[in-house]
Amino acid sequence: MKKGTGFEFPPEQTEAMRKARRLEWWTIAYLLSVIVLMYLTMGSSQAMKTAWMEDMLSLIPPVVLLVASRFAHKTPDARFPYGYHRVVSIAFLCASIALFTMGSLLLYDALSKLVMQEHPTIGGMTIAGTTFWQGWAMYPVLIWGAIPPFFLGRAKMPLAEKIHDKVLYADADMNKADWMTAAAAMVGITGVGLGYWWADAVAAAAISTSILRDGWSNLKQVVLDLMDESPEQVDRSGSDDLPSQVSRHLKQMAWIDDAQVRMREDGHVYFGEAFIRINDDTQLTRKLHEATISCRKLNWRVHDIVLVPVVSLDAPIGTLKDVDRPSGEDQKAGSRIRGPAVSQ
Amino acid sequence: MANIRSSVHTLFFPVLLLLIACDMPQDPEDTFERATDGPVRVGLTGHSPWVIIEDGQYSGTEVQLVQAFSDKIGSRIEWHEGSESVLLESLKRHELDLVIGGLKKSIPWKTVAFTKPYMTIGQDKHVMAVPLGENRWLLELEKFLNSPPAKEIMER
Repeated sequence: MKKGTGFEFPPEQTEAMRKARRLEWWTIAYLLSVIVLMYLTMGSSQAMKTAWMEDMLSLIPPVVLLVASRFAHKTPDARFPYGYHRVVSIAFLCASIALFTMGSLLLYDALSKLVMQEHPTIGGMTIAGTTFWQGWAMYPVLIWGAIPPFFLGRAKMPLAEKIHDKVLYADADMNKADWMTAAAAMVGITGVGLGYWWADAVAAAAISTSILRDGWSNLKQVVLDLMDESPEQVDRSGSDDLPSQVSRHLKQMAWIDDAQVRMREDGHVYFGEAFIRINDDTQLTRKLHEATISCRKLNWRVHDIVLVPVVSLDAPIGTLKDVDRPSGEDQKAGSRIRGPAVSQ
Repeated sequence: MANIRSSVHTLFFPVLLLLIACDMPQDPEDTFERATDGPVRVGLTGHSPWVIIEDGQYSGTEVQLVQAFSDKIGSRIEWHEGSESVLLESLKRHELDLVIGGLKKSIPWKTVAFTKPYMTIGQDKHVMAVPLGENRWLLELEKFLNSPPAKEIMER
């Protein structure tokens, strides 16, 4: 069986990945500190409990990235001829489902506390013989939970764009929005302090809605990826121009009249086919070889591209024409066959 | 930059609120205020040596603690005898402010709140029961239980 080629990042991306991995280790260490501090101070506040759960869930993307980056670039083998790039998407699918489910459960929790009119109890806390309101201890913990992620997120964002890593991007995006969780929890605690019991549950509902929204958008993204959606920008701002670039690049060659390219994303890199209509088939093998290499040189993300000379681009994968069809075949079924969607 | 500025504002808004609200926490049902005006409605169940009921006279560690607490906030006590479950039900409905009777932290009761254990004897962590969410009331009681006068009573 033909195996895909192994993959290595270009030097710039290797460096970015190294930085990203280091940042994710820091993120994990930092999150653990927040999780412990929150656990110690949360009392029976639902808002704190929800923020705490969110921080636990925030551990998933860094762990996914660290584990997946070990596996994703393994050399393809006989069993997995396209390599291991999809590991990232599958891990992220699981993470998104976890986020979505936990968000739903926590929202239900918060709403049922509102409906049951359960008054959150936050009593005293004694440190070194002094007893003070436990709510006071929550503020510094929440501030510690709010500020570092903002900077971690800002540091990760450009790296995610550089290595075209959607897990890292989603992680950075969630980090950047983390301060809102902390702010919501602080408002909730302040409300409780002022004697408004419902403030806690309302803050918890707001936080769980944000977890739910993260889960939903990540789930949608990863399902689209696994559906082989045509390559998108890492920030989902639109489709990636790279397939069209490859198509234009091929059309510039004198021996190629027309070209159509289709691509799919596998983790950091793209796999795809280019269908070409040619006008000169002398030394075709050598030309195809050189054209393939020049396509891959366009961008490191063009990882695996197969050039296929075809008779007609209207039916690039060899759709059966009426004249070609073996007699006796159902014509209606045959006429439904279409060529694939491709970049012109 | 605008992003950073807006997030800084959002972070400091609650902190600012904090400085304004110096007397946090408040009680949603104003238990502390009402109890200070008197009387403090205390439910009690006999459970020696914490609560001893003899010929209509109440004594024991917890009785003394509650008495001292009531004195401290300048109030008086209205005692209500009853079984633990009846008292805790009344507490839930805010018909009582405090329930004592050698309650332990391990008590499986979710509709009322408990103080942090104020005393540990062997495996038993002793607590008192208050209504859910009356945070000022709970805090004042816990502050008292951690204060030297209370420790003195416990050591007797």
